[in-house]
Parts: sequence; C-alpha cells; structure tokens
Amino acid sequence: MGALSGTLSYKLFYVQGEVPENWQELYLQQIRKNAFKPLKPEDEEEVSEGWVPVERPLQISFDLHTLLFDHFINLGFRQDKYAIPSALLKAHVEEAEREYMIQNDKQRLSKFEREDIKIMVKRKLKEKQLPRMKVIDMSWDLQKGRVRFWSQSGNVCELFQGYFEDTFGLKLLPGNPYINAVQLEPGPEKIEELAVVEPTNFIEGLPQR
Amino acid sequence: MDLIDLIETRRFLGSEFMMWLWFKSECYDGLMEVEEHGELEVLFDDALVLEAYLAETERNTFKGGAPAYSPEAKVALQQGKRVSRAKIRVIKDGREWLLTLKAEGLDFSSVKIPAVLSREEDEKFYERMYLVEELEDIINALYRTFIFTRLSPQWHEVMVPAMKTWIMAEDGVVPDVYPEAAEQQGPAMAKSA
Repeated sequence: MGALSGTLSYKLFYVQGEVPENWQELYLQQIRKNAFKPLKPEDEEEVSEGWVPVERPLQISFDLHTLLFDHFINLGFRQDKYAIPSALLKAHVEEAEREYMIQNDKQRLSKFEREDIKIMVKRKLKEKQLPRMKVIDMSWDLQKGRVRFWSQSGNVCELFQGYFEDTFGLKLLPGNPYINAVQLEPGPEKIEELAVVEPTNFIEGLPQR
Repeated sequence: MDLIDLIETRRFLGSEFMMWLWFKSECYDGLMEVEEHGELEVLFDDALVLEAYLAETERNTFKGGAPAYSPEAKVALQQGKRVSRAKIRVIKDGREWLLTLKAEGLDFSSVKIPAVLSREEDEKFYERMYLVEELEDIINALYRTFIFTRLSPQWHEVMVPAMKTWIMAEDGVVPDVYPEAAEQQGPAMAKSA
C-alpha cells in the first residue's frame, strides 16, 4: 500500500544537497548496506529496521531495476518488532523464577539471576512468536528533490528521516508551514519577515498566543 | 532562532492559510484563479475540524453536508477557534481531487486523485505521481499567494478586516467582499517548489 497503489496519505520531505554523479552505484551500495536485517529470537534487539524493495517486503536483495522507476527511487522501509505483552512476560518470568528457586533450593534471587531468567524467558517467548512487521513506502523524486513517505506518525517519520540521511548522505526537511514557505523561494527579505511574523488576531479580545 | 524553533513557532501559518482559503473559497463560490494553473475550483467539502488556538482539546468536528457553510462552524470561528483540518475538493479541467489537509504540517491525507487510466504497473505509478504532484503544485501556488499576501501590509490593512467581517457575519450569507486587490503574488516563480 502506498507508492504503487492504495491510500495516498503521506508526509512530504524536501531533499537538501546535490545527488552525486555516481549516484546509481553509490546508492545501490548504500541501500544494500542499510537493507533490512531479520530479527532472530536469540538477538538482544527487539526491533529491526531497514530497506526492502517496494511491495516485496520479504526480499532483501536489490538491483537498480527493483528500486529505480525512471527518475524515482522507490523503497519500502520495513520495521519489525517483537511485541510480547508485558503481563504475559511478567507471568512467565515469575513462573520461571519459582521453578529456579525450587530446583536450586533458594529463598531469594540475586539481581543477576533475575536478569538472566528474564532474558531466557524472553528468548523462549520470542521463539514462539513472529515479530510484527510494518512496511512503509517511500518514493524519492530525484528531479524535484521531494520524498513522499507513506506515514504521518511523528516518531516513524523521525526514524525514517534519520535512516534516509544515513543511507544517502543528504539532509531531509519535513514539509510544514515554515519549510514550505521557504521552499517557495520568496527571497531573503521575506524569509527574514517569516521569522518574526506574529499570529493574526481575527477576534478582538481573545488571546492569540 | 534555530530551524526547529522556526518550524514549531510558525505552525500557526498553516491554520491561517486554511482560514484564508476558506474565506476566499466562500466569497467566490469555490471558483478562483490560481497562479500557473488558471481557473479552477477549490471547495471545502464534508469534513472540517476547528480547534481553540490555546487549548487544542477544545475542538469542533463537523462531518457530512457542507460544514464550511454551516452556522455552527461560523460560531466556532467567532469563538476564536481555527481550522486544524479540512476535506478539500479541487476541480481542474474536469478532473477532481479530494484531500484532507492538516494545518499543523500542511500534510495531505486520504488523497483521492482523478481516475488512473494506465494498466501497466510502472505506468500506473507515474500517472499517480503526476496527479499527486499536480495537486501539490496547486496547493503550493495557493500557499505562495497566501504567504506573499500575509507578509505584505495589505494583510493587516485590508485582508484581515475583510475576514473579520466574514467571521462576524450573522446571517451566514456568502459575502462577495473578497479584497482581490490586496492579494500579492510575488515575483514569477523560479521553479515549482
């Protein structure tokens, strides 16, 4: 859902900086480096994110054909997360602690023993479930320097922005009333005025700030 | 002021833009001239949310019918509430777009584009993007007119008094009082932003 079909709800970003001359080779290399890495139950990390080909979230191999649509680079930003309900985790940890104390004839557990048990329980629970997968499309118009990202959640957009900047070495500015005004190239004087403009009072007697 | 502060403290421009657009649309029954796009229709559709500027929890949500023309929405404006989101219909050369515009980030959501005719996957994508881009350019052109007008003396001297009259009008009758001469277009656009 997103770039190729489905709902058109997205966040617009403006790309800052120039695309290098050898961008095809360089970006392909960088995308491969920042491709999605599947989570494993034994990993300490409970979240993993990275690039996948658009509409092929299970693939992690890339070539120019999979990502280049004329002057657009299309990618999926996949994020997997283990989501063990806290009540379930707590119940399993308590049960495991009880068993451990009985087996080892202990009345109390040290902090380290508790931590080890928790890690072991978490791993067992992770083995029984699959992580939750979320894939959000992004489409980068190389000619216009605009990126459309199919999410408007602040946290997800921030994560995506950082990931994009790390991958491509270019800054992204999120669309908003100030940035959109600056992007219209109103001239230095108007940009200075924008910085000091105050909200309009449409109704006398009501505070505006 | 750093960029983050500028972004956060200038968010009010989004709701002012939407209030201005609502005013203009109501004055002209939706029909307006847009720089580089010619004459087109911009109409407030069947969903509108107004929020108190200081207390965002004070919110009026209108759904169905034509809320922008309802006395209830006018009362909310008279209480000092501002547009936080609206469903907007744009019609150009017989083609129709529908979008929900959010004031805070000027974000587009639930965009409906004119029917895509291509069958091939790649072609379908290009057509979708072309139509989305056309809509972005129309809204940008309107925003540009707003920004130049907003930063000119005409805003406080002419546009705001006209908008105040519109807000306070009790009979709900569409006033043909849009001060066209107060609009500022700015210099010709160097490129479409």
